[in-house]
Amino acid sequence: MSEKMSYKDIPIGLAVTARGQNYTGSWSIFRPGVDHDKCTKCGLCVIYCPEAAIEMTDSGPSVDYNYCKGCGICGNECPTGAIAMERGEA
Amino acid sequence: MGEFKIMDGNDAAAHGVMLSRPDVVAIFPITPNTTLINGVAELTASGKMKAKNVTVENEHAALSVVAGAAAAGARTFTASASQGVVHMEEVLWMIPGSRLPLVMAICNRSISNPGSLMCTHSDSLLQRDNGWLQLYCEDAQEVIDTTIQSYRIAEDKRVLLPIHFCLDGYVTSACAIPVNVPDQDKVDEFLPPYPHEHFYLDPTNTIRPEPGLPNYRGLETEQRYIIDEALIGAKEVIKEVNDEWGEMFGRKYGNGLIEEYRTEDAKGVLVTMGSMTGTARVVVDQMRDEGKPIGLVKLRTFRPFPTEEFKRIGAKVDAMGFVDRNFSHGAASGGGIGVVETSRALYHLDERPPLLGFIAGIGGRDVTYENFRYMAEKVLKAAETGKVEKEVEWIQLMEG
Repeated sequence: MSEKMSYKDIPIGLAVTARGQNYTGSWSIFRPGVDHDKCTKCGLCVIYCPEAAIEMTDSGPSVDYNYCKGCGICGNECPTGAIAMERGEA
Repeated sequence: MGEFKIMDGNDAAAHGVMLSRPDVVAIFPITPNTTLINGVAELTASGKMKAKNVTVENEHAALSVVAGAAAAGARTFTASASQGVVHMEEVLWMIPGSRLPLVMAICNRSISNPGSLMCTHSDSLLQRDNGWLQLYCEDAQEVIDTTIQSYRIAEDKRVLLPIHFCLDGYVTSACAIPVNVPDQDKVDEFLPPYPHEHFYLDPTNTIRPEPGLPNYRGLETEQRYIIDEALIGAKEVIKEVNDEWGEMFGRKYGNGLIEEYRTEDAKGVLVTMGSMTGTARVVVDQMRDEGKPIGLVKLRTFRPFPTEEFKRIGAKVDAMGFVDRNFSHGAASGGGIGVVETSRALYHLDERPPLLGFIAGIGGRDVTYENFRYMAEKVLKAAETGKVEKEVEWIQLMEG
């Protein structure tokens, strides 16, 4: 916090206005790893992710580890067992 | 010049909402505002009100739905009372911080336990510290006018804060009177569409309207100060809106913050909120005919509290009495919330008048002519002697 900062500099509504301001990925202990051979690209992981941290790409789901909190819902919901929760850096 | 219809307070609120052209409404029914929800549902189902009516599972969800809609730029409406307001508590605190100009009706009702279905102002006054504006209505006419005014005030760029407009459960909500319903085209002129210039929820630019997170962490002091500044600044906006309403529709409510009745040469004044004001006005007239110098102040805007107005009146009268339809268990001098606020407003006057607290009408108990006469006499006695016999008195307390 700068000495010169004024309350007037805070934007109205105080919202986090852009990605990259509010990383929560460091909260995770387990991280989802995707086995692209097993993945059928059904998209359930994208729908179930409560943080909207998974995006479906041409090569399959892509997890944004800046935002993934490691809850494991995607791995639990994956019908083909393509997502495994792994400890540490995914 | 508007059409007269027989309406109760709930009906008036529903029609006021329709005339304000909201985009999204979500209300969970609760006595005593169930007919308000019926009214809104009928108006949306028949297509007279074009809003999306979201049926929800509880009050927490109702307020969350309209908060989300408001964050996406919609004009919204919700309503509740009593336990429902308490159930909304978590969401209520979030909205001023996100500067969402919601409008919500509270049909004042007691909170259990002990509770009742009838009017006590505790449910709305419980919300006095969280950044919402609060306007209290006396009758169904004031309800329909205040509903429309509320959108103008809340959406003003100098304010951008949510509003509770409050009507007394049953006494106002279910009491039908002839109400002048403003013409839609004039309301449209008075209330342009909500400009939503600072909206957040946009699928093409994902953002997160949550103030407590890292980039503003440690700045709650500043964030709270901003809300406080906007809330206090809202006084001017409320006055302007009241004046403009008066010019366009021929009805005004004092200066928008308070309404003075026969205070010019009064030695003592009573302060009231909500429906009981009508009874008090009659008693003031009766006592004036007897030559007794009593006056009345209707407190219309409780938040922001009209400090300057209270100082001005406090400086010219010899005694004041606040009639609280609420309680604040264990408060200073045992007072209700209104008298405690008033004490602070008057404290720095060079010659502050004796201030009496009355707690009356709890649980919807009628505050009668006799009760007002009793309170007025107490205030006039304090004006004469300069002394307060009893700081706070519970009116109609059964003591055997």
